[in-house]
Amino acid sequence: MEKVNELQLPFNRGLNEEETRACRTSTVKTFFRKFWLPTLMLVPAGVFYMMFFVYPTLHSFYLSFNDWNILTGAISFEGLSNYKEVLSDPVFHQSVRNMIVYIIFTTIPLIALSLIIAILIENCGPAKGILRTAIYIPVIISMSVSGMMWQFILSPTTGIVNQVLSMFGVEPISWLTDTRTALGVIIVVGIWRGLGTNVVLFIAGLKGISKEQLEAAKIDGANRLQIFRYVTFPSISYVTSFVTITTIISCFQIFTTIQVMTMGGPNNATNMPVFQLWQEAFQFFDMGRATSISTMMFIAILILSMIIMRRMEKAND
Amino acid sequence: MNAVCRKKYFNSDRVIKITSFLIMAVFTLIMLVPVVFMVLYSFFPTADVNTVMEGANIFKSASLEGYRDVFRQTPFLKMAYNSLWLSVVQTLLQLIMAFFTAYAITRWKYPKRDLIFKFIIATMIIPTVAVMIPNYIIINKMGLVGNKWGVVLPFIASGYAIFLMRQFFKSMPESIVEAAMIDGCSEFQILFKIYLPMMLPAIAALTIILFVGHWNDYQWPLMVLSKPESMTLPLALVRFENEGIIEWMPTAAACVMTMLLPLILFLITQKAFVETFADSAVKG
Repeated sequence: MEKVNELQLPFNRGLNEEETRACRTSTVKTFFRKFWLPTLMLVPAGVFYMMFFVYPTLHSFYLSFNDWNILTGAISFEGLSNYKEVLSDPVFHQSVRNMIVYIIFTTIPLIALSLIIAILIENCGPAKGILRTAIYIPVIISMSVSGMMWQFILSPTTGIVNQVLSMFGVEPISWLTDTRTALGVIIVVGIWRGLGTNVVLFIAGLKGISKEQLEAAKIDGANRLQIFRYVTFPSISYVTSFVTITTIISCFQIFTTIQVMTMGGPNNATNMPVFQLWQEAFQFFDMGRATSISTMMFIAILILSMIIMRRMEKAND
Repeated sequence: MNAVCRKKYFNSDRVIKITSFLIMAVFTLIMLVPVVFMVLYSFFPTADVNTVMEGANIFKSASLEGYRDVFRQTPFLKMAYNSLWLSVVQTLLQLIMAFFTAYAITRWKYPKRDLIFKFIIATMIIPTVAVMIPNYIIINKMGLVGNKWGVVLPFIASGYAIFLMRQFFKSMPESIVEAAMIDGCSEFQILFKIYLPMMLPAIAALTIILFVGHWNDYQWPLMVLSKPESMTLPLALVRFENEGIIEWMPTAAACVMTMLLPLILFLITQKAFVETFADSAVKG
C-alpha cells in the first residue's frame, strides 16, 4: 500500500477499504500536526477544568452516596440513604419552598422593573450616564457589605426604614427576625442588587433597535404603547432571554446575603438549598447530606438550563 | 426623536424627558439610601442618626471613633493587603489563562471547537456551591487551607473571563491578521504584536471588572480562610460583634473602607466597565 499523503482525503482518490482505514488513523496525526498550537494552548485550561471542576463534581456525586465521618475519616457506603434523609427533611422542604418563592418574586419584578428603568433612562437625555452609573453602584458593592448595609437600615431601633414608617404611625417592624418579613427582605435585597446588571443590559439592547423601524411605526401613526409592543419588545428579545436566564440562574446561587443577614432566617424562614448545603458541610459536618443537596441542585439547574436554552433556540428561529 | 411642533417649549417629548428624569432621580436616590446611610453611620454614633434626619446638629457629633475601632479591633491593614493580593493575583492569572484559551478557541477552526466553547459556558451555569465543597477537600489535601494560594488555585480557569476574551478576539478585523500572515509572521507574533495591542482597551476594562469582582468575593474565601490575619475585607465585616450585638460604627466604617476601592475604580472607568460587559452579552 502506498504511503498516504497527509493532505489527501479518501473521497479524492477512490481508495479501497484498507486504504480508507489507513487514512482515518492518519487523520488523527494530521489533526495534531495541523492543530498542535491550539491544543497546547488549551492544555492548561483543560488541566484546571479537569482538576477543579470535573473531578470535584464527580467526587461530589460519589460522596453523596456515602457517609463520611470527618473525624474518623471512615467512609461507608450508604447508597441512597443520604438522598432519602434530605428529601424527607422538613428543613429541606422549607428551603425549596423558600427558593421557589424567591425565584418567582425576584425574577419577574426584576426583569420588568429593569426594562421599565432602562426605557426611562433612555428617555432622560443628558442624565443617562449618571443614572446608569448610579443604578449600577449596588452591583459594585460586596455582597457582605450590602448585607450589612441593609441590616443597618432595617434595624428596629435605629434603622431609617422604621423611622420613616413611624412618621406614618406604623409601629417598628423587626424585619429580619419576623418570619413573615424575613424572606421579603431577602427578595428586596436581591432585586436591589440585580437591577444594575439587568438595566445596563437592557439599555445596551435598546440602543440596538433600528431607527428606521421606529420612524416607520411613528409615520404609520402608532402611539407609544403600540411602538413598544410591536417594535421595541421584539427587537430586544435576545437580551430579554439572556437577562431571564442569567437572573434565574443567579437566583439559585444566592448565599452571601443569607449568610450575612439571617443565617437561614428565623426558623428557617430564609433558608435555601445552597445555604443549607453550606450548613450541612461546615456546621454539621455531614458531607454526605451536603453533597446530596448539591447533586440535586446541580441536576435541577442543568435541566432548567437545557429547557430554557431549547426554548431560546426555538424563539430565535 | 424630532419634536413635531417646535413652537411649544413644553412639547410632549420634553415633558417625557423631564418626567422620566424626575422619576429616575427619585428612584435612584431611594436605591442609594442604604449606601448613603452606611456612610453616615460610620461617622455618627447611632443614637444621633434620628436627629440627622431632622437636620439638627449634624457636624457636632461626627467622630472618627468608628474608624479608630476598626484598626484597633482587627488587623485591618493586613486584611486589606490580603484583599489586594488576592484580587491582583487572581485577576492576572485568570487574564493570562483566558487570553490563551480564548485565542485557541477563536483563531483556528477544528472539529469539536464549538463543543469546547459550549462546555466552558456550561461551567459558568453550574452553581459554584456544587464545586466548592469537593474543591475544599482537594485544597485541604494539598495543605492549602488557610493559604491565599488555596483561594486562587481552583478558579484560575474562569469561564467568564474566557467568554469575554473570546468576544474580544472575535471583534477583531480579519484583514489585518491576513495581511500579517502574508508578511510571514509567526503565530506568536500575530498574537502579541497584532491582537494584543488592538485589544488593550477591552482587556483593561475586563481587568477592572475581574479585579472588582475578586475584591468583593465572599463565598470561597470564607471557606478557605478562617484566621483573622489571612482574611479578606468582605469576610472581616461580620466580626464586630460584642456578645451578639453588632457595633454599628466600626462595622459601618469597615464597610465604607471596603467599598472605597471598587467604587473609585468603577467611577473612573464607568463607561468602559459597563459597555464591555453589556456589549459582549448583547452581541453574544
